[in-house]
Amino acid sequence: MECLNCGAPVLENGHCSNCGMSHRLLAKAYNTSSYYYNLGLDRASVRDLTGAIDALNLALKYNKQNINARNLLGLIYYEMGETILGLTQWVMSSNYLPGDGNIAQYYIRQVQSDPVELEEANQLAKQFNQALMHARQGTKDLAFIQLKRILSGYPHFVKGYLLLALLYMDNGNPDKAKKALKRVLRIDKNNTLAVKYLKEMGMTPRDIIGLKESSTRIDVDSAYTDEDQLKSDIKTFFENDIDDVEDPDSSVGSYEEINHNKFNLLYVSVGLILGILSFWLLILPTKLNSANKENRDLQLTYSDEISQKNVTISDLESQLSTLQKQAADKEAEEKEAADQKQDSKEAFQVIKDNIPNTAYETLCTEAQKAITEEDFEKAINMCNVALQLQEGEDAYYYLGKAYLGNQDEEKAKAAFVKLKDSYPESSHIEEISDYLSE
Amino acid sequence: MINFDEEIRKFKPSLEIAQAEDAIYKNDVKDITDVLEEMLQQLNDRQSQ
Repeated sequence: MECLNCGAPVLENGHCSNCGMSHRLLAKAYNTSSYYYNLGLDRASVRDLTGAIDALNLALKYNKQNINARNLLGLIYYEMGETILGLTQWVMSSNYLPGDGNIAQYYIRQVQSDPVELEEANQLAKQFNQALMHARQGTKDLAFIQLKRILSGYPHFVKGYLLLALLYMDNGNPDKAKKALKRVLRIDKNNTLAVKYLKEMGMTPRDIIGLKESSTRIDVDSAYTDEDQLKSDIKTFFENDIDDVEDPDSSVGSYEEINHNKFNLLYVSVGLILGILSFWLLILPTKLNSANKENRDLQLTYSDEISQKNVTISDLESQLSTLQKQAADKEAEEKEAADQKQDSKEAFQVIKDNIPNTAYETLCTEAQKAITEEDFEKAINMCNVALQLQEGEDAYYYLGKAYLGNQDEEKAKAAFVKLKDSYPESSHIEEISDYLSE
Repeated sequence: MINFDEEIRKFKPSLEIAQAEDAIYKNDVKDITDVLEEMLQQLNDRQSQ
């Protein structure tokens, strides 16, 4: 038989030959250590982490080299968000039993393989310590902010929830404290501090059991937010029967496995109905109002345009009527003018016809007188003016004579020829015939 | 009734990485073996005296 402490042979008196320790006592101590390890393992299996920690610490007091107990203790600390504390247990474990046979080596490698996670765990510890300092110093608002930030990133951090719950209780907000403690009970089913706080808030043991059962619905890996309570309450409402709601005590009964699958369809249906209702009540009226407003704006725009067009049309119509009136007036004026012109023409003709042509005769007399006075140029002009007024035999006769006097026989001959052709029965024919025959 | 100040004193700071080494070295929790060794040591000392 070998000594459990140093491995040397055990003497017949039951003591080690090397270290002198009683084999019986050591065996009993090691056996007790194993017992508490088994107890801790059982408790950890049902998420009674606080109970498991107590049992495992006892196991380590009987045998500090109980590797399994130390490794499990480290794992529980890790689960509760105390990564560094868990790491220290694993380091001590690997120190007692080096080599890959010790699972602590695997845990250490896992943690060390992700430096970011390790650093985050360190930051978590620092932030919690800061929050704790704020809470102790009375700056609770800062502690609230810090803790909420921590818990949104580390939803397993039991100590953070407990401190938050304590702050909420002190702040007179038991509902939020219960919410935080519910999370604690989801991770650590028999957390003594959480149960103590719940009792202080007036919850009976049956209520606490009900809270523990309902906490199983919480997704323990989800970030801690204020909506969790609402989600949980809605689920509780739909999962309880009407009778249960009427009788609150019956909602906290004996343990019963809940079949969540059968409620999935209900959840989906309720979700759809709520979605449709929210669309119908919130989004649709807004959309309709918006569409109506757009229509009204469009209608106003079109009305403005139509009124502008109407104004333009009426302007154009008035312009058209003015122009038509002007055209009619002008036409009437033109017609009147034409009539007047015609009348004037006719009157002029009448006057012309009726007035005796004294100017012609006067001009002819003046031409005859000018020839007598041998002023032939004057006589030629007189005759030409007389011929413009009226053709006549005297005018041609005196014109021919004036040209003769002026030594222009050719023109004189032309004037006589015209006289002879136009007036063959003139009294001057005989006289000019002699001249023409020459 | 819970006294906030009393309760807050029960909360201990979390262990940071910088403190981990000290925590490991100072973790001198005695188990039964250590107690027995001490007892034997004391017995041997008495016998030698």
